[in-house]
Amino acid sequence: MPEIYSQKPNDLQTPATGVSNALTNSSKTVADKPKESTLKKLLGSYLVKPDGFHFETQETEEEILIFMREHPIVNAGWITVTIILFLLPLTVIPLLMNNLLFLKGLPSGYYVILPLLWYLGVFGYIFTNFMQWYFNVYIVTNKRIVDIDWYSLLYKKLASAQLEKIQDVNYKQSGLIESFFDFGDIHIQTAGTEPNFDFEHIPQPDRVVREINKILEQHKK
Amino acid sequence: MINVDLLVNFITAFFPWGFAKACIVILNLIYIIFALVVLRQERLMANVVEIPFAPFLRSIAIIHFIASVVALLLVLIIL
Repeated sequence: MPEIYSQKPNDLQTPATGVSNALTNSSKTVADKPKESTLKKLLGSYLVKPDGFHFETQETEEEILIFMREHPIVNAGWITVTIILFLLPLTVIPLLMNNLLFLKGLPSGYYVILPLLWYLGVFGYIFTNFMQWYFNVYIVTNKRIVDIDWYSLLYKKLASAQLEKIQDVNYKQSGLIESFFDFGDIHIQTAGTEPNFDFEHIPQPDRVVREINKILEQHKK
Repeated sequence: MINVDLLVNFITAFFPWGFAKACIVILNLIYIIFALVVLRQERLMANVVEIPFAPFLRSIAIIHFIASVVALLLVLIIL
């Protein structure tokens, strides 16, 4: 929200009155962050108090404090496949045409239709993969944490736990790629029968853990 | 008795490219169903997580579905 980035000096002196202020008043790291660009708001993996974001089971007085999704680098796999699929007709079809004699008699209409269908399929592949990344989100509100997972186009899982149920938050960063791109898995341990949470491939997990701990501290007060 | 010449003529009328066209039409029909699922899924996802970018994604899903229907029409017309 704009106010957390452009607070007036007088506003900063106002005492914090709720968990939602944990990120604005008690945290220098997030509060001092420069205003996010539109592109980051649309495609960012880590957003603080984002405008216009809601989720299915959000209550009226519930406010999204942190909105996360996986680091964009996790898309590298399907983007690489997409590039190969994109280039395949341009390289393989001329080779096949020269070597397979029965293709010589291919009616001309097929030269139009087959690439068209191929690239339509490639587009569908890109779109579904992008949606799966884009809507697979982790949310921290002033009341709970929410994990929304889409395992495929037809299967979703929405899990949440109240902030008071959270016992421990830690993160794991392993491997060259995770260290290089600074992302990792955050493990949130909850009390009782509540399920534990794993936020996977979160950018700057150390910062996120710090912020979640601040929210929890604020919530306990 | 089956007229062999008639049968051969019937098969050659479809093979190889008639058969290929039939396969392409079937695949295209399956793809249209997939595009419909994607369209429905996008709406479902956008309902679960309301994001400002969602209307743009919805437009893309609709365009994707329309493109798959247009592709089927082109297959039927051109091939």
